[in-house]
Amino acid sequence: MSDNFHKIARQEIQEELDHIREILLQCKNDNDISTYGNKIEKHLHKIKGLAPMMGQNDVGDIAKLNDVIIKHVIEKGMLIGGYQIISESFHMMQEIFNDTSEKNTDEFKTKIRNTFSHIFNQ
Amino acid sequence: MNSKRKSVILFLIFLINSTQLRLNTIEPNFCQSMARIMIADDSDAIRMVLKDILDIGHHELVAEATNGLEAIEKFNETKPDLLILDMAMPKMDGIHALKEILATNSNAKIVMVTASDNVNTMTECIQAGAIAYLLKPFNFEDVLTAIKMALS
Repeated sequence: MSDNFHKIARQEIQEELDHIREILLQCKNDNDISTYGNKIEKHLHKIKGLAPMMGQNDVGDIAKLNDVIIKHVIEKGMLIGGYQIISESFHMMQEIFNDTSEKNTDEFKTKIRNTFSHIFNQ
Repeated sequence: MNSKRKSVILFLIFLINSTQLRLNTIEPNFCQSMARIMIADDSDAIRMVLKDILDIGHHELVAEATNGLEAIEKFNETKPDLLILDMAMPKMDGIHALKEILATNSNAKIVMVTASDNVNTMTECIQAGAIAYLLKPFNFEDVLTAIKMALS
């Protein structure tokens, strides 16, 4: 992939992260995540597809896990713990993207899968 | 090639065979004759990488669109050999654009592109008339393989 591709892809992913941050600023609890589920999913979907193409596999993986969770919320309604995990995931994605993360990404992904094993094991 | 991508390709082969379309091989052929191809995706980055891949495959880019409505308009203007159409786009999504285009261009060849690996979504695309389904993230080989499948 060309340098120009990486530059434009980086801008687009940052825009999607910015949109998610703006939405999360309007959310305070699990019910709010349910209300804004479709909007959040739209931005996660973009990140999920584009991030791995510019080598941001961990960002893509976290977006993909969150995409599964948010689709569950859209389909089934409020999910206990949804707000916390979506918020934590957003911060994790942003830190990884900025190369400022000091957390263990694999542990975080495992935590998401374990916390919502009833969704991922369906 | 990871197991998910393999299963997606096998799924596509099954669907295409089941719709009576002939598919003998899906090996990419980088020297196949040039096709006139249109790209519809709202991401500048994705359109850029697809254009690079078309260059590698010696195909001609005839038009670009950034939403479903524009895709329909430009398809009707340029009548490409193949349309690479993203699912999630503003104004009109890819599946509605696919149906609209096929309603007036029944022989149109369209490859759908999406980050969704949901089997129901794939099935909906193929049943609506898409010739293949390309999963993001993709590489140049995936795209050229899908183009060859669609044009064969």
